[in-house]
Amino acid sequence: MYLSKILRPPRTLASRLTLWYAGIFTISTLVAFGAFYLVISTVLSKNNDLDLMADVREYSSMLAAEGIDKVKAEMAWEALSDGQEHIFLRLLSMDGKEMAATDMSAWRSVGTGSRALEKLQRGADYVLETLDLPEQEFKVRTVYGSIGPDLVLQIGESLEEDAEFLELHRTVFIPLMAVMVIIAAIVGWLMARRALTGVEEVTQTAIEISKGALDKRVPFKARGDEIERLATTFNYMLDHINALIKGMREMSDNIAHDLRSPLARIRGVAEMAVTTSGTEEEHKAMAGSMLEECDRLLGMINAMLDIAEAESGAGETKLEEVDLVSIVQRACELFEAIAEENSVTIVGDLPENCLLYGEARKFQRMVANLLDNALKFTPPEGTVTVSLKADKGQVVISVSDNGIGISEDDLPHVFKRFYRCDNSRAQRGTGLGLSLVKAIAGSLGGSVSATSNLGKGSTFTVTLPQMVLSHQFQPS
Amino acid sequence: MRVLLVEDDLKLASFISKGLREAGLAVDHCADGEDGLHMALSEPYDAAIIDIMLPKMDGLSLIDELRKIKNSTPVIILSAKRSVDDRIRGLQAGGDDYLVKPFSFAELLARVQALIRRASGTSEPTTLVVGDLSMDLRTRKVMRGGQKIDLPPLEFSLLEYLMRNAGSVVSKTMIMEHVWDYNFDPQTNVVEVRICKLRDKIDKDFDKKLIHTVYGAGYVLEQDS
Repeated sequence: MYLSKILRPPRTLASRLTLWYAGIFTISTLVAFGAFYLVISTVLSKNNDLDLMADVREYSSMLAAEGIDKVKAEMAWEALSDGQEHIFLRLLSMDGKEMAATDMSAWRSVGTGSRALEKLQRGADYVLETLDLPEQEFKVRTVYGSIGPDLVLQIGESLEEDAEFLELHRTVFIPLMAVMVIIAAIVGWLMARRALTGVEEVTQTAIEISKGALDKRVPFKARGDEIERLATTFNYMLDHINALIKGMREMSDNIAHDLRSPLARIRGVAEMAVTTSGTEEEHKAMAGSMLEECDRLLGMINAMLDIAEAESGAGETKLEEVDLVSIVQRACELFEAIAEENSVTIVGDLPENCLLYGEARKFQRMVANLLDNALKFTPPEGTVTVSLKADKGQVVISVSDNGIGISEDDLPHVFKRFYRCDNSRAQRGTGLGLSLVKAIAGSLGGSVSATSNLGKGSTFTVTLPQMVLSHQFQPS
Repeated sequence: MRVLLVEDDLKLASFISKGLREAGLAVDHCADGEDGLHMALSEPYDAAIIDIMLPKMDGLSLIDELRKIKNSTPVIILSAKRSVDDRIRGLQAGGDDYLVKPFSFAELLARVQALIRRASGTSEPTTLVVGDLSMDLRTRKVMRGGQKIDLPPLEFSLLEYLMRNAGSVVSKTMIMEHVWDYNFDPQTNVVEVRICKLRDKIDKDFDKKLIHTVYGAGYVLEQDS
C-alpha cells in the first residue's frame, strides 16, 4: 500500500519538474562517468602492455650486448626490486623448457604457455595473455617475447596497481554521485518553483476572487515572459468581466426604478377592473389598456437587454453583407406615414449603395430609433433630413431635424439610459432609444454624437468604420 | 386538427389550451418532457407546442428524440430566452418555429395555423377573398364591391397580411415582423398610422367595415356577422 503511494507520480507540476531534472542529471552523470572509466581502464591496460613489450626489447638488446649471465642477474634484480609476489620473469626454450626463472613460489600454477610459444614460432614478435591464477588475488598480464635464438623471455605482472587505481575511482565516485543528485534535485526544485511562482500567483488571485474579492488582480512584475503574459491576459479578462458585472448591476438598478411606473399603471387599471362594476365594454377597454402597458413594459425590457447585449459584444452571430442605403430607405418608408400625419417631410440624401458587414437588425434599429427620435421633436411643416456618406473607410449616417432642439444642459446626457429631457416627458417613449443607438454603434466599432441649437433643431451623427467591419467579418 | 401542448406552467397552459380550443383545435396537454415524448409518439398530432424549460426532459432533447425516430410533427418552440443564438439552437434541434415569452396569443394561434397549413401542403392561393374584398396576388389588383382600389406597396403588403390571417387577431409586433421585416418593436405608432391610412382606402366609402381594432391586442380583418 505504501509502495503504491510512493510509486504514484507526484501531482504538482513543480515536483514533477524536479524529478525530471534530477533524473536526467543522474543519468547523464552516470553515462559520463561510465565513459570516463572505460577510457581510463583502456589507457591503463594499453600502457601496461607497452611497458611489458619495452621490457622484453630491453632484455633482448642486453642479451646481444652483454650475454646471458647479465640477463639472468638483471631478471633477479628486477624481481626483487618490484617484489617477487608482484612480478616474475623466466626464460623458456621454444619447446617450453624452463631455462631460468625468478622465485616462482607465488606463481605456481603458471603453465608453460605452449600456445603462446607456438604463435612465436609462427613468427609473432610478442604474445600477450591475461591469466587468472588461483594463488594471485588480482589478474595477471603476461608477455612472451623471443630475445635470442631458441630463447623466450616471459614476464608476468600482477595487475594489482591498475585494479586499485580503478577501485579508488569507484569509491570516490559513488558518494560524489549521491551528493550531486541531491544538489540536482534541490536546484531543479528551486528552478521549478521560480518558474511556477507566477502561476501560483495567478492561482492565488483566482482563489481570492472566487471567495468574493472581485477587484483583486495578479501583481505585475514586468518579467516579460510567458507567465507575465498569462497574468496580463488574466487581469484583462477580469477587468472585462468586472465591467460587464457593473453594467448588469446598473441595469438591474434601472429596471427596479424605471419599470415601476408602468407596473403601477397596470396594477391600477387591474385593481379598478376588479373593484368597479362596469359594462363589458368598459372592462374590455381596461384589459386593452393593460395589454398596451404590458407591451410597453416588454419593449423596455427588450430594449434594455439589447443595450446590454450590444455593450457586452455578445450575440454577434448573424453577420451578413448589408446595404445600409436600402435599410435607410425602408426605415424612411416606414416612418413616412407618421411624418405625413404631422406634415413633416423626410428628405433622404443617400448614395447609390453602401455595403457593410454586420447584423441587419442592428442597423435597422439604429436608423429607426434615430428617425423616431427626430420625428418626435419636429413640429408640423418641419423637415427631417437623413444623409449617408461613405468616405475614407468611414460611414457617416446623420439625422437632422429643425425641431425644438436640446438645451445645453441636457445635451451631454441624451445618450444615458432612461434620461428624458423635460420637454420630452409628454412624448411617449422609453428613454432608451438613443442609448440603444449608442450601444449598437459602439458594438460596431463606431460612435455617435449629437449637436443642437435650442429652438432650431438637432443633428445626430453615427460614424461607423467601414473597413474594420469587413475586417471583423471572418467567415469560419 | 389535434395539437400537443407540452408546458409546465399550468396557468399559461390552461390559457393556451382554452384559446386553441376556442379556435376549433383539439388540445392535449402534459407538463413534463417525458410525458410529452410519450404522448407525441402515441398519437399523430398535426402540430406540437413545446416549452424549452421542462422537468424530466428539456424541450430541445424532446424534439431531438422525435426527429431521431423520423417523427416530423411540426413543432413551435416556446422559450423565455430571446437571443438569436437560442433561436438558432432551437431551430437546429428540429423546431419549425420559435416564439419568445411573453407572446400574444394571437401570434401563437397564427403560427400554429401556418404550420398546420404548411404541413398539410395546402397550395398557395392566388386570390384572397374576404366578403366583397378581393386581392389578386398575381396582378396585385385589389377590388372591393366592384371598385378598384390602388394601394402603395407597403399598404398592399399590410392588407395581404391581414387578409391571409382573416378572422384572426394580428398584433402590432406580428405586423412589424411580417410586413416590415423588423424583428423588434420600434416603440412608435407607425402601425396605427398605417392601419389608419389603409382604412381610409378600404373601409371609408363602405358601410360594412372590415378592419377592426381589438383594443390592446391588435387588429383583425373580418366580415361582421
